[in-house]
Amino acid sequence: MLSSAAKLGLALLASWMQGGLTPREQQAWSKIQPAIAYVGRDAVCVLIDDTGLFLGQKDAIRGNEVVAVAGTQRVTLKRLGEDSATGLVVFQASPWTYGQAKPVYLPEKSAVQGQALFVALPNGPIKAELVRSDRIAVLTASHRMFPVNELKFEAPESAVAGGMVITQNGELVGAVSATLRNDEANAARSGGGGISAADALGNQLNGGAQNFGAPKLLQRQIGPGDLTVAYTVGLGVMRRVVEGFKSPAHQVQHPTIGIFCKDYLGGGALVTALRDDSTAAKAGMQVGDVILSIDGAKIRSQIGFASTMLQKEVGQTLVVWVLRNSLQVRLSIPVGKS
Amino acid sequence: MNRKIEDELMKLAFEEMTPEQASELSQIAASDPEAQRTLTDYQDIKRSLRMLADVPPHQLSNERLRSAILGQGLKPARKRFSLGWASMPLSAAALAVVFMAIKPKPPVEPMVALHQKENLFPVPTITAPPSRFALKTPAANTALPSIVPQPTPTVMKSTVAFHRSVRHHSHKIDDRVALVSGDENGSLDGDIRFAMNQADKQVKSPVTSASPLVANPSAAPAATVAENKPAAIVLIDGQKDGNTGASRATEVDSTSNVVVGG
Repeated sequence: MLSSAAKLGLALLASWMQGGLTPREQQAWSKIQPAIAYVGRDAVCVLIDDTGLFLGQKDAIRGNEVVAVAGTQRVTLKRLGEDSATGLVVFQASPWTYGQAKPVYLPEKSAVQGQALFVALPNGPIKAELVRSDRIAVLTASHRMFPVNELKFEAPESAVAGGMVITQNGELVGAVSATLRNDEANAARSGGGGISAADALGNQLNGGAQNFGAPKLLQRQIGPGDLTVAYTVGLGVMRRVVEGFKSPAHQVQHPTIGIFCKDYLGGGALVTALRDDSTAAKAGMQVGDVILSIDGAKIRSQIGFASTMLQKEVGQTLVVWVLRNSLQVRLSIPVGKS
Repeated sequence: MNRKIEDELMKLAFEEMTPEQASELSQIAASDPEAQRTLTDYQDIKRSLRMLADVPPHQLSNERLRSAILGQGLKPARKRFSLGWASMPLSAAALAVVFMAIKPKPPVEPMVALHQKENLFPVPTITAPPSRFALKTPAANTALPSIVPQPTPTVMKSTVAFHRSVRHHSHKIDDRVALVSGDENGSLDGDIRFAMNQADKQVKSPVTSASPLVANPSAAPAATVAENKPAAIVLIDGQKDGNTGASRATEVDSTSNVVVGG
């Protein structure tokens, strides 16, 4: 009797430790967990190659060499390279035996809406759900534009920065690189109305604002916790990052021609600045040019320009038509790397 | 062949003779091709008349035969339904409906003319020694363009500028659509945009001219329009969220003043 109660308690404790996963989800997670390396209580990395290459988030892992636990083995992670655009870094684990754990892999297609995901965190996995895979994000520091996945999950007590997002089939979706501001997330959660169902229920139980006598019931005590809306880099960019990290140089090459644009009223991308050493500057592009098309694809806005550039490869030569002083100018611009 | 023999042949065909008379007349008809032909015709008529349900075969007679032949042969021709003159406006209306259905839709983009006296695209003037990563902005080598909203070109006058070559209501143009320069400062003339739209439809391949400058807007490349107008984008700044520890993201509805690099 006592042992049964102890077993039940242990099972509940294990379930709580694993973010309330169902037995089936725990089974799926048990297959993924050997590919996760825990860097203390701060961050996690995920195995992307049989040779012991681990992917992590730069902001979550400080230092060029850190100690981690991969599976049941203590390893040292040595930083091999980083991608400043996405903030992802790659580490080499040592000692490492080839094939000692099964790496996660990138899926052929983007994850579908509503797909159940795991977010691997230092305290264990939590469940998440993919909301959309077609969002566009701009990093204000670098003005880089990336397609991102939007996912939501119940906010855990610990920080989620650098959490690795993995499908239940072991496919790598990305790393949590940003979260929506809490007020916006709550507005999105309540359908833009600004008050959630839990809030409404709390107000109802409290008698609304007119009930001054009863003690105020905390809204957090009702229903699930707050939802966190997070973003990960989209599949196309993620693939480029992972393949770059797996290359012998462990470097990622994002295509660029070295210009900055904003929307143009008449349709097109208005060049507002360009780097002196950029391929665009060397090809004759000037500030004030309006990019009309790239390789036959019409450019309607700066977002269209950035989206088109993401599909290009380093070394490719672009045929760019720009509008300059009421004349159309044809430029041939080689794609550089950043 | 006289009338009497013809009557006899008719009786023979309609079996109104005795067998003796019939065999005798058959011999005569066999020797006379014209009589044979006449007999065959009457026999065909009788065969046809048998198909008429209203007259039983035993009631067939010369009189009935004649009245039947006259009734069938002289029946007035059936009139075809015709509206006469009324059909002409109906046909015209139908043609108009078909024409409106297949008529190409007018350009979607608003066509406005920009009339600005100041330079819309200022020429960069570098006032400080350019460093390797310096930006060619009018404000010299400053930091990267800010993401905060910036002033956009103002539409000073929303006059439709295609008065020379465009019929406003029919959206039809003639072949005289050509590049019309803006003012000296290089402001964008509405004709250029309109010509660009036309070039998108007309030109199949880009001009590979040795000189990069072309004065004919129809030389623009055939463009495959990309779907590049998302509804809302997410701005990710460098500040960390106090609760999640991740970079803070903000949704913005308008992308007009967002500067992106590439």
